[in-house]
Amino acid sequence: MRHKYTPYLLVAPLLIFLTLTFVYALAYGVIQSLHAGSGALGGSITLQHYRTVLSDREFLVSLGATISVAVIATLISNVLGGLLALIMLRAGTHGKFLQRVLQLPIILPHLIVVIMVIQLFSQTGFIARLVWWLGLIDNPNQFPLLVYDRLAIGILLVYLYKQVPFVAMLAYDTLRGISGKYAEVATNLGASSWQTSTQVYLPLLKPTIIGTSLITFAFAFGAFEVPFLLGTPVWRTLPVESYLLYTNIDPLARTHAMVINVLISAISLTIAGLYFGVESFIKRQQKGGGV
Amino acid sequence: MKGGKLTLLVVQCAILVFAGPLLALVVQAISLRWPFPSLLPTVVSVRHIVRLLWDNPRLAEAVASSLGIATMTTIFTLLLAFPAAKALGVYNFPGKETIKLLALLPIMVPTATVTMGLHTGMLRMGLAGSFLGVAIVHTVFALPYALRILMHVFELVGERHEQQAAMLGAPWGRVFYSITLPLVMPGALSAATMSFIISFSQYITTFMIGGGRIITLPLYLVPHVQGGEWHVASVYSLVFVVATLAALTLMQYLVRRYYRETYFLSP
Amino acid sequence: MIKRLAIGLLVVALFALTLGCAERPELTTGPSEFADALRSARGKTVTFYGWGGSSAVNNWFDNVVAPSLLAEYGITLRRVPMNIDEILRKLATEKQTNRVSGDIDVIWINGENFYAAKTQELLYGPFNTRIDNFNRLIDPQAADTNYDFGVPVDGMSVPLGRAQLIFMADRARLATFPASAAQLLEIARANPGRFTYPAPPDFTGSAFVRNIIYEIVGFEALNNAPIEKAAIQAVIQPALDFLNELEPYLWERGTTYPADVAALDRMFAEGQLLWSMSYTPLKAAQLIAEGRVPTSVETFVFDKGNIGNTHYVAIPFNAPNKDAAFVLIHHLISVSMQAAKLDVANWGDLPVLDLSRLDPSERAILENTNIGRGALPMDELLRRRLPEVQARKVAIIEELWREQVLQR
Repeated sequence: MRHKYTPYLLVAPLLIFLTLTFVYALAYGVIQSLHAGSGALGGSITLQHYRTVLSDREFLVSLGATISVAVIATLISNVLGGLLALIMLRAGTHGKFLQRVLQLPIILPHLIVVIMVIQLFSQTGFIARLVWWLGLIDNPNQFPLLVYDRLAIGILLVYLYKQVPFVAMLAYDTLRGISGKYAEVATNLGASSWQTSTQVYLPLLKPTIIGTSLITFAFAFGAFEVPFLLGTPVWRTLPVESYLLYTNIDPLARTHAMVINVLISAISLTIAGLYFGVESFIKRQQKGGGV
Repeated sequence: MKGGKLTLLVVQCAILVFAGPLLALVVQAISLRWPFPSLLPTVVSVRHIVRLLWDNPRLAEAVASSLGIATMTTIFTLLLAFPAAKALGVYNFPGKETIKLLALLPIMVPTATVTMGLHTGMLRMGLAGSFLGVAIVHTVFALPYALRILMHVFELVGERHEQQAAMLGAPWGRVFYSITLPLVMPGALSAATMSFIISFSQYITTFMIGGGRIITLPLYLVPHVQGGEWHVASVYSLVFVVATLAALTLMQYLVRRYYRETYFLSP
Repeated sequence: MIKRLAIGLLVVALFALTLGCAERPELTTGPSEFADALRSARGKTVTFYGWGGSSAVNNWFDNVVAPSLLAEYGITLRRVPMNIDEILRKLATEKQTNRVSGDIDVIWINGENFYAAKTQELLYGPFNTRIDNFNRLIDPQAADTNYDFGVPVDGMSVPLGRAQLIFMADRARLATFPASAAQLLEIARANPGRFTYPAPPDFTGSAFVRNIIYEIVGFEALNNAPIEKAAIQAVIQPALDFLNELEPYLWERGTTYPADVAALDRMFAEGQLLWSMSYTPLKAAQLIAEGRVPTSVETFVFDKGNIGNTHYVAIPFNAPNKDAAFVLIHHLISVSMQAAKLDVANWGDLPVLDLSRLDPSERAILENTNIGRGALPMDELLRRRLPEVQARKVAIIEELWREQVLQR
């Protein structure tokens, strides 16, 4: 029954499927972005479209904004998530209860989180009404714009709501997997619980956090629905910009969309490469290090 | 490690922050009128929810489409991921790491980006605007998650049991059905759940490939969000959550029944 | 065994080759007279492709047009919702692969899309004079019979309905409605933060910007400008200056704008803004009927007029049932269908009929159609209606707005 080729046969359906879909999609984007004219196949290969897009001011603004939002979202959600996991560990049974509660944000789709954020934070939202009730404002326009705003605050809030639980859950799992003996040893050596947290648990958490950071960055970078619904028209994130160009009637716009898609894919694949690199590094450490 | 009062406070705040907004959604769903600046809804009505849900063929269609596509996606994903996970989790062969990498890539590349690359091809093949086409695209994004989960399970389970059964003379099909399947069932359920949720939550992929002909629940919901019709949006959001939970509960129930039948039936 | 297989394959291949070369399929020519169409189309199914994103529109097609079409002409209507960019891509692919019998009989189209379809030769025609109701009820001299967003129609499409940019405000909250751009500036200054407009390229926001251009610079100047960015900027600069002057009194001091007209409606309904706007002429009536705004809301337009555009139906080059297409189009522009389309309970879209060609009973049907409350009557809207300019200029204007107004 065990054939030399069995594993290859077993992965074949999946690989064929992914080649016909995923690989085809990426290849299509690359090919379309490299052709002269309006990107129709049969023209000569040219970098002209790349030159046009990369020198376009709106594109550069979009790129900068998308990366900034992704970096900020990643930083905050991983720091908060990691801290939350540490606190959950210290809180014992309450921590376990919180873990159950945190499953809720993870299964809620982004669309619903967007609705909740708008209902709470918009200028006529619940918090605005509280502020009105406290007598601090007398009409909605005086409440600061937190959704659809240029600082992407609404977008960040949605990301945080989804990503802090995600990071916290993974970090909590890791922490629980770490033997309690380390903490014991540290306490016996006279460390305060704060020192135990920072000197013992935090370093052990590092690999997990690096992994989650890459994932949260990739997600925030490539997200579509959230910036599409909560963004300001003044600037758009890269995926939204690409989509708007793609649905333009002008075939040249669609070619530019493909250029942007290729760039997005390149960045995403780089992050993926980093992620797998980190993962195998951790695995090798675990096998050899014997911690 | 015991924490003090500050720790408890933080945990309680966290519970409030993460569970609270859902409560706001529920309140919004039962309020017919809740204008600024009222802190509480001015008109509460449950009857209007019933009206919104009952006399609404388009909503029913959207829910049915969502469920149908999600089911198809889950089936496709499991069919493709199962054998691949077994190969990657149990066997060792040249090229294994590369294949693993390739199979997990779709997690990292944004869905909108990939879908734009697929769109023209699907149009040419006549798949655009069809349930099958949408399900295929959803499968691309569900696969890496399902694969990861199943790979992990297969790594843990190994091949010992199957090998023993094969040595005892059991045919291939029987081995799969009576040994492999029950062992990986919890992982399979997890993978199925993940695939279902992923498909059910898709918006831009369905929007692009569906071409305006296929309306799933998220597509039905979005215009109401853009227009600020909060009571409608909230009600439909709760429909979404309920539908997801119902489908997942059904899945779990079927699996549990399967376990009871295979383990308590006479051999 | 292998030899037999090879011979078998060869036979099959030869057979397929001969089959392929035997007949070069031809496009059908369509009926030469409407009477022929009426006769041959009975019992057929006509397939209509168009944007399905509005339930009001879908309702009108499914619940008003389809039953009456079946009852009067014995033709079944099959409506397929599809976004226009996809429809055009489908037709373009079919043209490339020489598919002579397609799936679509009638498409709903206008503006840039019509221009694209016409230049890519995706349409059948000219055909409009072969439709009875077109000859009888539509004004052949009307601007929108002959030009779609500045592009000559050349008989390749028939008008279906008219939309017009309208503004709405609550009489109870705003005593004087702005009747001109200058008045808008004044009223916005007196009520800072209570006015704004959707950012182009949102369709309605874009129309508003063009409307302001008409107010300040005039339709003729813009229409006569060449389709070139610098030239257009020179023409519309005063309007861009006006919008910049208006900016500090707008919502959020114009540092950002609502992304689409739905957002504008939302803020208007929630009382944040004192006005909203729409390309659907009966929008105010619909909002009042839905209970989203108070009954004191009224519709208004600028004194010098507001932009209107017309939307059309056309027949793809490879329509399989051109006769049924003729009959459907004939039915869509009939008095009964146009009146039903106007009704606020259905679509609320203006008719394309030439009122002077209607007999008194037909005119009465139109005049007695329910347009709900808070809307402007049809003739008043048509009196203050300005045409659209060439579709390519629209895109240039949107770009200029982004550069000169939004990002300043």
